[in-house]
Amino acid sequence: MNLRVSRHLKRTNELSRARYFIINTVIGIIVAGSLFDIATRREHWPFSYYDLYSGASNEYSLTLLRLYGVTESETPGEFPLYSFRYIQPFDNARLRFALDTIDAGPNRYDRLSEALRDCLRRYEALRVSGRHDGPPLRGIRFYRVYWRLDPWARNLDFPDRKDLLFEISQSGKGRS
Amino acid sequence: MEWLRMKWDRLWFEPAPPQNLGLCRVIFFGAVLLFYLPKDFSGWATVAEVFWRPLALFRWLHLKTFSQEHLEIMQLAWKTALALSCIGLLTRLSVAASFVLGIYLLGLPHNFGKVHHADAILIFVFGIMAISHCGDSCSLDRILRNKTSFIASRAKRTLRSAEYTWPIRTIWLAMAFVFFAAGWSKIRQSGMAWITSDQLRIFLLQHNYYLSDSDPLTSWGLVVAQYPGICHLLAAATIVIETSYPLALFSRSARRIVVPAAFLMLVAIRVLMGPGFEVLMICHIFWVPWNRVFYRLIRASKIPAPSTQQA
Repeated sequence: MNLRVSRHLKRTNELSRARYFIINTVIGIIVAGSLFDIATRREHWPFSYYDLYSGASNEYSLTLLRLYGVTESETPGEFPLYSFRYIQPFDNARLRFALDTIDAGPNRYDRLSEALRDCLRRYEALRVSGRHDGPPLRGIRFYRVYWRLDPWARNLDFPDRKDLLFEISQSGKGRS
Repeated sequence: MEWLRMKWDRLWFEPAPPQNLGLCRVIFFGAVLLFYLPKDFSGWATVAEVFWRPLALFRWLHLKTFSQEHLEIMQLAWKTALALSCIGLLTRLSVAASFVLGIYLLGLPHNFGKVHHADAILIFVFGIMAISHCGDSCSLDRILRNKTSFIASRAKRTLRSAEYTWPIRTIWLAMAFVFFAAGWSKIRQSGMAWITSDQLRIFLLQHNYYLSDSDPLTSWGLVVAQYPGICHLLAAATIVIETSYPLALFSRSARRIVVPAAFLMLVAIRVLMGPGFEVLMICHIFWVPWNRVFYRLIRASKIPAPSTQQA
């Protein structure tokens, strides 16, 4: 026992009291912060309770909010804006969550108008500067898109339903 | 109480040679630099105010989005700090700068819509490394100060201190919380249904519909989804790996199984589903005893060992 105690003292004596305290405080902060977020299921970045993919369901479907660009051609078409090069600095998931929050929040009309107009402005700025080779857009549409999941994702480009939630054009105002 | 304190000190402050921490620093900062080199944070300055939903940390510190020019300067400074931390030049200052600038730059995107979980671990690692003595070995500082070789002499190699153990163990702890929290969330929210339901199969299918921040590297997820039994098995393995990760802190045997399994799980997520946990993969380098690997490589390649004359 004496030998063990002396080894222990040798181990910790090389650290000053202050240093020993600081290190243990750092360890304590990591433990306390992590446990707090796990217990309360609240996020205090960089701490988190990491609930990603924690739900369970047997529903073979997918509902997503997604932006579509309306092209400027004579017969206007639309294509989904999920690729990073079109919507950067957002990524597909972050933009979806951001739009979902705005869609469900107060002043929906004004805020969605501003958000979609911002996406359109950035798309065009990136296009003009040669950062992507997408077609010029005359507007953006915001949809809720629904799929029945196909075992080989063959219906990827053909959702079962698309509900138009909002629309803006280069010149005019937003339309709900 | 004394017994508990001894156990505690043994876990965090077991003396170790400096080389492992030094090599971890070189590899970690080098890998993080390579990963973030092509990434541009300055675009966030161009995003409209309507998207701004500040994190608690940004609210408390009254942090805002700086102008594009300022963000460009900040990210240049951050990437330079990462490079200097890697080679070990002005190590204390450069690692501290990586930490402080990293909090802002890595945190900034999370103020716009969603908190991604992939990179939060970096803040802990930077913070721990900033107060550690990670520049004591394998650094240009060391060479300039003592005129010793990069990896240190044989005499230096025998120096052991608690200072070279606790940073690595504390990073292990932070990683253990990440995995445990993810596993515990699944158990708490869904219980056994997370394994017995078709959830993992559904996730594999859904991620082929451009759901995530990045697309799966292959379409193999669709192939795996054709076999419900394999999906249930993978779901069970996921829960076991995530919740048992903390065991690796205390048990050498658990470490040999759980840590590689968790790493492979992250690779599988990237390949089959898409979400990128590259940063968490990089952090796994702290589980490798690089000093042993390094000396084994030296012996295998028969490169003469560093000079013993300069202690």
